[in-house]
Amino acid sequence: MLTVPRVEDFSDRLRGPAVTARVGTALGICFGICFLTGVWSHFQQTTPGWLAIPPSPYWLYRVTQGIHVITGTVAVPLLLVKLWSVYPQFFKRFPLRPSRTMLVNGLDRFYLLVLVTAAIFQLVTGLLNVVHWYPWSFSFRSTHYAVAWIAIGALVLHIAVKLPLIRSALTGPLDDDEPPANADADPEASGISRRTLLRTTWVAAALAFVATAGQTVPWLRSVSVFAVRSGDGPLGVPINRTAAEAGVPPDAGGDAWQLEIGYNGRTKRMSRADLEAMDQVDEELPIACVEGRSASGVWTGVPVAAITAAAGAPPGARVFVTSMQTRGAFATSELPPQFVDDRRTLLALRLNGADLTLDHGYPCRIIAPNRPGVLQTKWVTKLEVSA
Amino acid sequence: MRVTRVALGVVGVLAGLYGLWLARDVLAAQVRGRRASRQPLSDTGIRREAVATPQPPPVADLVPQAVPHAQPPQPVAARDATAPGMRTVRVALGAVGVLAGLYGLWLVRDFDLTQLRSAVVWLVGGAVIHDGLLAPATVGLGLLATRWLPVAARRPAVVGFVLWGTLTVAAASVLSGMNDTPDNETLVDRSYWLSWSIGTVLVLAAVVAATLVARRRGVSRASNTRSD
Repeated sequence: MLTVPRVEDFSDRLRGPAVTARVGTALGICFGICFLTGVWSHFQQTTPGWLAIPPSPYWLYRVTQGIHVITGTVAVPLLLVKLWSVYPQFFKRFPLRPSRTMLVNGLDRFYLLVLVTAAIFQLVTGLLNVVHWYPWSFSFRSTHYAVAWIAIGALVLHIAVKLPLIRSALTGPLDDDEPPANADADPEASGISRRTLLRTTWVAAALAFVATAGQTVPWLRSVSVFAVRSGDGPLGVPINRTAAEAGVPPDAGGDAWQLEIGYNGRTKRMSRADLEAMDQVDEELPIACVEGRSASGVWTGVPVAAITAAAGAPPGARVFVTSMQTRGAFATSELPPQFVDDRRTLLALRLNGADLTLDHGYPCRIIAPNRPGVLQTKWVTKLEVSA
Repeated sequence: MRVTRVALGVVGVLAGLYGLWLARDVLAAQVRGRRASRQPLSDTGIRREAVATPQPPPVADLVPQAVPHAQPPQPVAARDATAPGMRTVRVALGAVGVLAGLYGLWLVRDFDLTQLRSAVVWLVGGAVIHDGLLAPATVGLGLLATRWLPVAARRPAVVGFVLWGTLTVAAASVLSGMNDTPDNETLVDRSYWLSWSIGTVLVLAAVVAATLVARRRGVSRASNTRSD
């Protein structure tokens, strides 16, 4: 006969505040960093008017977004151990007849439910986004962002509620004086101390890091057997969105292609040969995606500032970039003045010494320092300059 | 539409008022507690009892526990909870948390019904799969382990299980082989199942090796002696 267990049915030798508070602290730090880097990424993609994101340091987005995905992945084992350590509380009974106890317990249960569902949701959707799998009908970006606020809010509330307990657990001893008294009668797999459990958890977190971080940290590439990307790709750089996915036809960059540059009511047209005839600049810049992966390449092309100058625009102009892509949310992007004026911002024609492939954005693409990959518009067809 | 919204609003306000009414004593106790916290900790039942009933004269041989404590030691957590500085920090943190959560809710205001429904399914689904499937399975495995595994194998088995579980869950997305862009050959481009199989074998081998070492060192005997 299967019965619903009660809190008392669980062994509480390993479980308890001593373990929960320690794992919870590590998990809270991971979630905190993940939240901050996530908000930063959101600002990078949908920059609010009051914020002018600088093009320097060029590696900033690569680092923040790499950390975002790494902390999220490392949080997986931490969250599992944390939830395991409090699982018996799930079966805590409280009176269901209207009373203060019911209200207080009900509110307590409610915010914990919000916290647990939001935390799991964030990790699951984040990990699936990394492999580009979207088996749902909500928008990933806006939902992941909204639930991030709910998760972090519930987490901060949780810390407020548990603060005295956390403090006493962290300042108290980890293991009780008694060694595991009765290993055979212990209802859970036993024979291990809290210290061993904690160390195992830290090793598990490190394992999650090493096994996946190679997509961000180049020297981990060979050991990151579960990294979403090996780091290989045409011209030495992986592709995030192929031409076929973006709805760009194979002959998009054919002889008929011309770049339109609009400024002050006039439209100037340039062929790829015209662009190649301009002074070429080499820049080593990373392409850094929201999925956390990044790869450096040497890009060759014309500084956007040189093109706007050729169109007659003064420095401090803003450029609105349009792609030939017909599918996906990022067919256009905007280069604010500080990016246009930066000579490292290129309309790139070549990558690592060879012409761009179609999947890399042939005939030309934007590459700028410290920008999320989705704003490094490929298959550029039009630049609209406004001073 | 308008009627529904007004009705919902009224119900919400009434529910909130009812909640406040239910919590009236708790709130009053909070207010009293703030004043009381500056004074010495209030008497406990034990002390009152000790004063009321005459005690037998202390006997030198009596174990110390037999003498009623003048003041039972207050747990650190309870002491901290009433400290004025701690209370301010907690209230401030709580308010920030609630505001952040509400901001998150406000962000979904533009979602259409399909999006909302899907988001709710995924929100609830994750928790249901964890609490209803993964967690009970772990508890069940623990029970099986205590029944079937030799004592010397338990510690290696727990460590191995945590590491193997981490590998499996953290790699679940790439192991699934699913993604919406199958024509992109630079994505999900490693032999993940091979790596996972090798990892699983390595963990198993390590558990067996650690068990043999532990058995040789006599962990099994020591534990059995203790449990007698």
